[in-house]
Amino acid sequence: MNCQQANTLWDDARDRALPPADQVAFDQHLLNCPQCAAMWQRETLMLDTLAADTEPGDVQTFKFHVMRKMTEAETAPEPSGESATVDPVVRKFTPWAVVAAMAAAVALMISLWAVVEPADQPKSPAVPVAATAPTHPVSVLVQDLTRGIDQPQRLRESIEKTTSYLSLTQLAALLEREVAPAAPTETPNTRG
Amino acid sequence: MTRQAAEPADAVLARRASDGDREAAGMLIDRHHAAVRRFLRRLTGRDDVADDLAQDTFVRLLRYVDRYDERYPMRTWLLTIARRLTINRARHESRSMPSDDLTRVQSGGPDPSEPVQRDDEQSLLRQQLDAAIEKLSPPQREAVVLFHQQQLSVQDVAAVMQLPVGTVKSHLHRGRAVMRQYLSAHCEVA
Repeated sequence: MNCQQANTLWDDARDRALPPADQVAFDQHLLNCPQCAAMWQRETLMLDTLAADTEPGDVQTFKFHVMRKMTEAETAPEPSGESATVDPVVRKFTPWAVVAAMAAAVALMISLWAVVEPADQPKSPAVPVAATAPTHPVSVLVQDLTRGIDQPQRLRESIEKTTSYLSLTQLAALLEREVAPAAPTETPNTRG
Repeated sequence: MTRQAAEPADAVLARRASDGDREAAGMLIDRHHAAVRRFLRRLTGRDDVADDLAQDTFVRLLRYVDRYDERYPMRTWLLTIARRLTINRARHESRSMPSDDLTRVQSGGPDPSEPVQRDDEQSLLRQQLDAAIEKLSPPQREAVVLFHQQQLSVQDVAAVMQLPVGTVKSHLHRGRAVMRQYLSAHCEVA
């Protein structure tokens, strides 16, 4: 075996993954080649040094800092969603994320308000209170309520269809406003 | 009495820590801090950065310890978190630093051109080791450190690096070849 052949077996020899016959030939080459033997010894020393890397410092100080950061993290907002479950390295909330979340919340509130307050938003296409054939579940419910529909089954279905759009609080407010006798609406389809 | 008999297993400590037991959390830190810190010191080349990342690693561990899969070694999971944090930190740092190295957080490692001044053989070896590791690419460095320093199997290295076993072997072999080249060029081997 020459140096070039030994070099091709080097890593497998290092990983103790050579077949016995190749291992014998490799060992024999190291015995006969001072240069390869010296390199093998030097590399072995270096890797042994890596394995015996210096122990890090005081664990108590380290632990204190971990617990301090832990306390800070516990008071920080809890991330949610897919990123938190896929990767344990969860992204921290950034100011941009907070601003974006607030903007989204405001936009959601405005859109809900526009749906629930159709009489005040006549230009909005999503609030057809007195339209002849409303299709939006909330609009259907409003129309049913304002017409004083007496079909409980249909009314229940109509309410159920709005649950994707309205919270219970909003639904209660809507029912209170539309059903209350002292709350006349501006449309010609009011009950009474 | 053996350590295994005297001390609870990682899985037991993880369950206790998940229930808010700070003593159990402290025992997990005691048990694994050295491995994580040594690994990160080799990856980053800076003790202060490595310790900061190691602290963050344990914070992540303790926050999400209820997700620990007991079929796998705790150390492998910790090293995986530590590696990801290092990459994330390096990406963040690279936005303000003119460096294409995604793993080395800052160039705080030894200067290979600096002449060796220490007489002690062990110190000389350490200095050569530092300089040789500095020559490795990030994946080569991770593979070499996980395999030789952390003494993980190739399969566990692959799990930490989230790479196929064959790719890990390739990084490991090429990394050692780079280290040998450094030894040939800078050290009197023969």
